[in-house]
Amino acid sequence: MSAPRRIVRPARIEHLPELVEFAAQGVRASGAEADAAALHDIRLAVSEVCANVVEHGYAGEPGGSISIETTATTERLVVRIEDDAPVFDPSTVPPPDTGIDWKRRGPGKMGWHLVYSVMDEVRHEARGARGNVVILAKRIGPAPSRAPRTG
Amino acid sequence: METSVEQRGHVIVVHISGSVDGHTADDLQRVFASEVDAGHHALIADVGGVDYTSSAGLRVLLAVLKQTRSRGGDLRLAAPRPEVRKVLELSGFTGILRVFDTVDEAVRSVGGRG
Repeated sequence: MSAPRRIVRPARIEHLPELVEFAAQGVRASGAEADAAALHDIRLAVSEVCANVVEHGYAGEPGGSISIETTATTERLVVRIEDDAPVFDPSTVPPPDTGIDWKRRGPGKMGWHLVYSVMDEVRHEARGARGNVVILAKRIGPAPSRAPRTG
Repeated sequence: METSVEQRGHVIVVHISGSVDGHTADDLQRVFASEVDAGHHALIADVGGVDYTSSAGLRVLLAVLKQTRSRGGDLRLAAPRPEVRKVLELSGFTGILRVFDTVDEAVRSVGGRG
């Protein structure tokens, strides 16, 4: 397993590209073959989570920060995103109704739906009244080969 | 994210590349808004160069879709990479807007020169 890498930045939207690329670089740090689909999904999920922290978590409150830590094996990347915003459990967000027509389709609820859809694992931990940890995991290496049958 | 605008007859093609997310979606909204305000209601979003689009980008597409259709036009998508197409499917957008493999096909679908 690669050593953890960590970055801390002010929770402002202009830092989003740097935070997203830091997480994606965790794949390279692991020595895994870069899988375009997995990299896409990691960038998308980290972008969604960090944008949510900025726009809804701190909601304009100045002085907040976001930290991202990645750890990886050649098969799996884990991204840990922490903030000091009021506690918010994303598993409470209902999925959007994706079957309705365009006139009634609203703009909300899509972000967390995408995060849960593209990542293999999404966990949330609260750190008291303020502070959230979102842990994202994604398979980044080739699918494991089946063990040969014996006997 | 970078954008460029191309006019083909009455059809406007907005070529988009890079990342469409919470940092860039407002810029994309402004590009589309200026076309809608100029009276262009047949719009094609060429997303062939898009690395990823987050929900912020999807919200822009939904808003532009509603604006153009309410004026008798449409917004159609062209050339999404497989990963971007997957996001469109996951969000239900392939059920509410038309997606084409190429820009030419998308332009022809609204009566423009492909």
